[in-house]
Amino acid sequence: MKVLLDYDSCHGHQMCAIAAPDVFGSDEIGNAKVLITGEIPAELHTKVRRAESNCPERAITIIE
Amino acid sequence: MTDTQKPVTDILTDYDIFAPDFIKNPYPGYTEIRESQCPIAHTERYEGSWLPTRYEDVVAIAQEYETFTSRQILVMPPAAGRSEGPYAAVGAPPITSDPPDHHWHRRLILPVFAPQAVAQYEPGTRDLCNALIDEFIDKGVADAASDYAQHIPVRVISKMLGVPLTMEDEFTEWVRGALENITDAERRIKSFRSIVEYFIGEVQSRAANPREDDFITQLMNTEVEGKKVPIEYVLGVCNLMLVAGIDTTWSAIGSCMWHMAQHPEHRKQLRENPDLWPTAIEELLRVYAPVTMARIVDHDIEFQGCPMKAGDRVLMAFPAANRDPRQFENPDEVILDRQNNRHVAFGSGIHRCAGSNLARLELRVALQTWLERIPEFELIDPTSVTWAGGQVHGPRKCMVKF
Repeated sequence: MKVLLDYDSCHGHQMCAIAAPDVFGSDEIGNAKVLITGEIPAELHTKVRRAESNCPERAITIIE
Repeated sequence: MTDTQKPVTDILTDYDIFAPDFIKNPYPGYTEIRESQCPIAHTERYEGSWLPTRYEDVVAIAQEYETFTSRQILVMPPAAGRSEGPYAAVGAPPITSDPPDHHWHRRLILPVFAPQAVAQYEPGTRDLCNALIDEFIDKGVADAASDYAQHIPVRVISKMLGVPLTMEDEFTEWVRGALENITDAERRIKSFRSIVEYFIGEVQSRAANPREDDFITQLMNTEVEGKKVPIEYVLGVCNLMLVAGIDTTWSAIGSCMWHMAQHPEHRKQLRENPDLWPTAIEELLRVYAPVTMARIVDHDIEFQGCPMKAGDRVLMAFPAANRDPRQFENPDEVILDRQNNRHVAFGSGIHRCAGSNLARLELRVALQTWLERIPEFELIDPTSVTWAGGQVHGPRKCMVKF
């Protein structure tokens, strides 16, 4: 599993970072920052799916 | 304002967001509209407005900022005289800005509100919550709204701005005058002018005696394309900090206190499983989203079959969107570990609430501190709770015993 963030759509709700803090963080203006750009460890998959399903801007895409 | 006195004949064509029943509990009205053949209602009251209630429609409108502009953002038309006087051009950027200015208006304040930046306010917020509780804990009764929730955001914002905490009562009065009062146009104008005049004084005092590090000083020293930002921008952001940062968060804290007072099972769940806090806060924000914003239609358009005209007001009922069963299972139920929660309590699109991370922090710390100190409490009389509504929904009197 990998994640893609559409930075132009992100408006900094931070709901991804709340759902999956090991995978998503905040940049200097509070928009999302992907912390794991490569393969996401299996134990984090559930949280990543929750991050995707909590983003109000639908800015996160999961590639499996 | 006689619009508030006429009984509502048909909620789909004559809703009144300031009717006493609607202020107290708007959710049955939202549901009636949302589940009807006409989920975007219309009213002629208060110079007319549209009221979308489905999640999909509210989000679509929030995203279409060129059609649905932020020339005005309050649910009421501006009071006569608002556009007069030397500081009439002062808005509340970036919430009142449209592109292209919106971009720099927003970009300049975002770093201050990033999660890592607001974290510094957590210990101070906890201390002030504890100090408020110290005042009433021995009495066994308190007003969770006016003795507790009401004091928290105004003090955090004052500290952030670098202005004295002794301004608390004035700030609260001005913000309520601007947002909660629907009948007295003169008081709305006066409240706005008081805010602007106060901050003119703060700007002048910093110009005469520069301070090193407070928010107003930082704003004054900010440059865009080599030029200092205009004074209207500095005053506008200060205005925003008050009108968007105080009433809103205090209302959310108050609604959550009201909820917790009636739900011992949720208090127990949070006590036994503190890991629930992150999802619990988002769920409480979904269910008790306090804010409805407005947009002004730029040009005639048919939206979902509704003939909207240039200049029409559209009410962005985020609280209605957040309870749409098409988007949320069992939407009226508080489920503290809800997994799928794409809520829009903070809005959506380019005007998404800039202060959301600070609001979340205040809400969590206010609830945690209260529940640690006063784990068991209940409403004294549910019928005596009073509410504000329309622009910002939350309890104003909420007596509890413990």
